Amino acid sequence: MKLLYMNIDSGSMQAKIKNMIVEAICFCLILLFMYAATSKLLDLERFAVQIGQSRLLTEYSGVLAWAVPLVEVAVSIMLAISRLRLAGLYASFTIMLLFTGYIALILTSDDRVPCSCGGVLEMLGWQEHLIFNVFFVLLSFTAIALHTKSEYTQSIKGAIRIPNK
Amino acid sequence: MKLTKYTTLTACGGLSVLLLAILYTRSGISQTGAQPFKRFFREIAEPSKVYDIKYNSYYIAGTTRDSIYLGNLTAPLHIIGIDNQSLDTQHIEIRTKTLPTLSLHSTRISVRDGFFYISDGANRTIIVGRTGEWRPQHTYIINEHFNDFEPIDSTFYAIGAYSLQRENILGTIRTGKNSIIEFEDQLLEKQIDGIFSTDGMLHYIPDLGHLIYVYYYRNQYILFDTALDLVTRCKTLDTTSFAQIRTHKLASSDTYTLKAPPVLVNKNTCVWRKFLLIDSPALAENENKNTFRLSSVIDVYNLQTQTYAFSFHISEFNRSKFKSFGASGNTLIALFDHYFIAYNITM
Repeated sequence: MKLLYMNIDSGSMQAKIKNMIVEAICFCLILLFMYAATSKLLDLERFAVQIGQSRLLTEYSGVLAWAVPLVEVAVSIMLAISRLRLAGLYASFTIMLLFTGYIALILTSDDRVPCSCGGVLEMLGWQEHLIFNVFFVLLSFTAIALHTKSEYTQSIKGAIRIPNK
Repeated sequence: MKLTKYTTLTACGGLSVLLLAILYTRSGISQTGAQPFKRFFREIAEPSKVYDIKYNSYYIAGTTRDSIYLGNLTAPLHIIGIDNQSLDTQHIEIRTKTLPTLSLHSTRISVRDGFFYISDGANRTIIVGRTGEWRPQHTYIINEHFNDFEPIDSTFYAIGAYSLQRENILGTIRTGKNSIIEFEDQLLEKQIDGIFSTDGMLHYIPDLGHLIYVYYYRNQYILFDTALDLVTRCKTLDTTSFAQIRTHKLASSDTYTLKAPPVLVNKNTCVWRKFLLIDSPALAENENKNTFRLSSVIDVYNLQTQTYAFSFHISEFNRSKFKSFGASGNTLIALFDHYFIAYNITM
């Protein structure tokens, strides 16, 4: 009996830790997206001009200037609501992958246009930026892998139910 | 991890790759379209020495009969002199106790036979001294701001500045008891706007006694004399005769910026003897795409006859192309990040 209890206990502990990691990663992602979105929205015109400098984006700079910060805010909101968290993580995984791919394309082409991520993120060189982004892709991946549907409440229920048997 | 997660993740990955692929193919970056002109290659530059100068903030400050000098953007009083025969380098510090107010971002060093110049167009300051002594001798505060500075001799300089209409304009300054500044607004011909479309590089050609202005965004250079009279306008090989730029006015700061990346026609230029050397990003129709991708192409123009002479390659170094270059005697120096490479020119 004791053994069983311990197992259940450690199981719930593991779930707890997993959940904490997922929440910590979501927190980091929200911080990143909200920071990036705010610094873009504060000077939207400048941001539009900056992405216009990139040959990849120049055609769509008008739309993207709005779309990018709005998507960043939307994803942050999704990450903050536990019901939408998994979808939010998939979304952040996708957009971080997009940003990373974009940087990789910039690095392979000849013209090194200035980065337009906003705020202190612009201080990063393209190489460092690539590493930074890959790190966040991996973070979102980790969070998706660890995420289980409201694992915390489930494990508590389980821990209560079994000794009652 | 559940199988559904893998499928969703793969779908997400696929989606981002697809979006990027669409962006990439539609941008036209992949096709470096050749232009309808031909180049003739004569590989005259043979690399002879790579030198680590530790910092990437060096630029070509000027060339004299026997040396090439590098200035440093972050240490404005520091100069490297490179002997064009022995390739020995000499680290020079301009010695001075008192200096007028200078701004770091607008202060440049120029060197021309016998004299060095510290110019700061934002503070309207020009300081002149002899190269052997490396001490300021004269300081001039002139009446006009300027952007480009090119010494002709120790008391006479060519400048590029903004006119009252805030457009690029070329002029000269003669210093003395009273500095005389002259401008000529007929030399630069504007297209679209008066700032970006006329932007370019100003050089003095000691061997001809003329000045030259090479536009960044169109296939033209202007030869004019020191009295600011036009000698001739000439076309380069590239076929872009009208500047491919889109400008945009920022309401928030009342400044103009480029809305889309401009099509650069003349990336880098330098004058060597009676020749103009242009680092050109255009691909010719008879050119090998692979060689083109892995090296810079330098087009050589004879300024005496105003004709195209030939082209040569300068290969990439550490997977990047050179930033700026200068030549003196039989030596060409190209700056790559925090290195310079010396090339031996045989002609």
